[in-house]
Amino acid sequence: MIQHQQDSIVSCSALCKTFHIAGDLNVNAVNDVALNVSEREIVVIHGSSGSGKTTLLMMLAGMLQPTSGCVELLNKDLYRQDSSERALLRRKSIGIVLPMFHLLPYLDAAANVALGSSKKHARKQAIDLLDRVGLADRARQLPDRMSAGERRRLIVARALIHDPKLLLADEPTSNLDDENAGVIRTLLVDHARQGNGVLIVTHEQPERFCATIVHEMSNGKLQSIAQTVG
Amino acid sequence: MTSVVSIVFAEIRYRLLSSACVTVIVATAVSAVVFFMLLTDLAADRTRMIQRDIGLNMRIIPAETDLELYWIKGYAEGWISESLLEKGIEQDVANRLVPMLQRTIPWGDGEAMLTGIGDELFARGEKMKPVFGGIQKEAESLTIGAVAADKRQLHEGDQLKVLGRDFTIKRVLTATGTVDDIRVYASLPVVQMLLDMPGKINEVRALECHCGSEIDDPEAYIQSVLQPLFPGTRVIRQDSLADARRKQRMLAERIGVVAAPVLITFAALAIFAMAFLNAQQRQQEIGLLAVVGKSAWTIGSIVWLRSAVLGLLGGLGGALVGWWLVNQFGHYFIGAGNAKLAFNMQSLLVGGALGGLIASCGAFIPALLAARRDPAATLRSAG
Repeated sequence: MIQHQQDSIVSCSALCKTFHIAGDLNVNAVNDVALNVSEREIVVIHGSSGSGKTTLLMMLAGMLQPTSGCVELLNKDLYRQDSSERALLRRKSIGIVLPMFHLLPYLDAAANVALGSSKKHARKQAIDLLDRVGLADRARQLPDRMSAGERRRLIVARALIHDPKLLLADEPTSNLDDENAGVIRTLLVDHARQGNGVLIVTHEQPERFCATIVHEMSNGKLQSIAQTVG
Repeated sequence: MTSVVSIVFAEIRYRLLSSACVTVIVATAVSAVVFFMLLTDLAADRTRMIQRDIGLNMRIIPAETDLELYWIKGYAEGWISESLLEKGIEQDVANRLVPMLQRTIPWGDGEAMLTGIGDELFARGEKMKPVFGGIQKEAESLTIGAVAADKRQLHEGDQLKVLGRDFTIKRVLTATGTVDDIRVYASLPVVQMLLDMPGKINEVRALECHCGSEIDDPEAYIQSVLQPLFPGTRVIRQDSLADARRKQRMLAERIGVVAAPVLITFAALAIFAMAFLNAQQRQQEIGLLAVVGKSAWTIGSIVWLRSAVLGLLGGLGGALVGWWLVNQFGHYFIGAGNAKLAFNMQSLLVGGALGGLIASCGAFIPALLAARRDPAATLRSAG
């Protein structure tokens, strides 16, 4: 049973994910995790590669069925919804920043950003957002003509276009120079300040994200709740 | 919102080579199908023309006719009412009904076969070049067979009396090597008047229609259709002509029946493979679309619509190519030197629809698989 906190956006309890590798070999990627992200919070999950961070994020995004446990998004049990209802929830309430440069190579920058919105004037909205991330002049550019930092900003802009209540960011600043990383961190912090929840999984120093709460993840477990930074 | 359609068209432009491959596969299949279809049509037209040139293969004569006498004399002694033709045309087993009245008449020191030819009647209101188009139908004119004219030294423009009435020879036919060479042709009403047989005929010649091709015993079937419409008659069917024609037509149709589905299946399988590969190639995109909250239905639509659009384009192109091919090379297959088919929009639409259908069927399962794919697994495998 999930203990609801005030203004909770997403929470999970006893969340487990086991992958069957071969024969009887099982890997507990996420093991008995409880977590809550509330409005205006930036929750950082820090851990090394293979610790289960991305698997946890995928389950919170409604994209990976847990082996056991439950995820509640805006007071709805995510995995009691069918896949189309979960897709609708993602479209309306969740923004996801993926670690890889997942962009449609044949759509220009503005169209890639607009992909995250179901509104009529999404392209105009996308161009405004590109302006905010410093890519206004690249609106008609295809992704493969853009640098890594630009593409990362594009992905963040796409995750933010529908003003999601929950932003899930997987390694949002990895392999970026300080300037680009700074732009992205500012966007994430600004989004939390507007009354939304932000969950970041990273192997970078958590202090950089102005985190409200920092969790350490190792071997599929949230081993320690670090501290409230600010 | 970035619409499904804009995603589909952007992807087609981006992966132009693989898109072109799908289009070419569909176009090839559709052009081959259209080629066979149009060639079959052209062959059917050609067959009709050949058949018309050979002659009519059915004779409807009075039931009481002694066939031995009929073949000796060349005509039936009895008669049937010309009015039967009004109802008789309302069937689909015999076309080009030509009412005739024939009798042997004394002519000089010999005899001639006086033959009255009525207007040719076409089933289903069709209008075609009449078989006996060369016979003059004016009241005061005669057309004479080559042997009859030669024996009496008659020429076109000569005047002569037949059964006490004056006529002008309008045409002398070239020799055919048949009984037609001794005929003296006039219009049916004139012959009825000369023989004092108004409203009477003694034979209807006709051409067997396509309908006999799908049944085991065409003769019995034709009899069963015509008997109620022509009471008091019997039908003589020249089997060798009719069967040869039927077999030829069935062979052509069988080729079409076998070739078209084989080609369509081949194209659908090729498109299935290409759509499947396309969906595999686009795993990352499919995962991404799931990430941004696109429903399974939308994702499936994107994969399916791409193939459907390319199939439609291929189908339209294929229809044009098929039509061009049949006009360029059709004569090699059917031996009609100047046979041309006018292009019609229906062929284009059928081609487009066929192409869209082939591609839609081919892409259906890959689209379904793409739509049902686990987004997290897709991203993991693509990442």
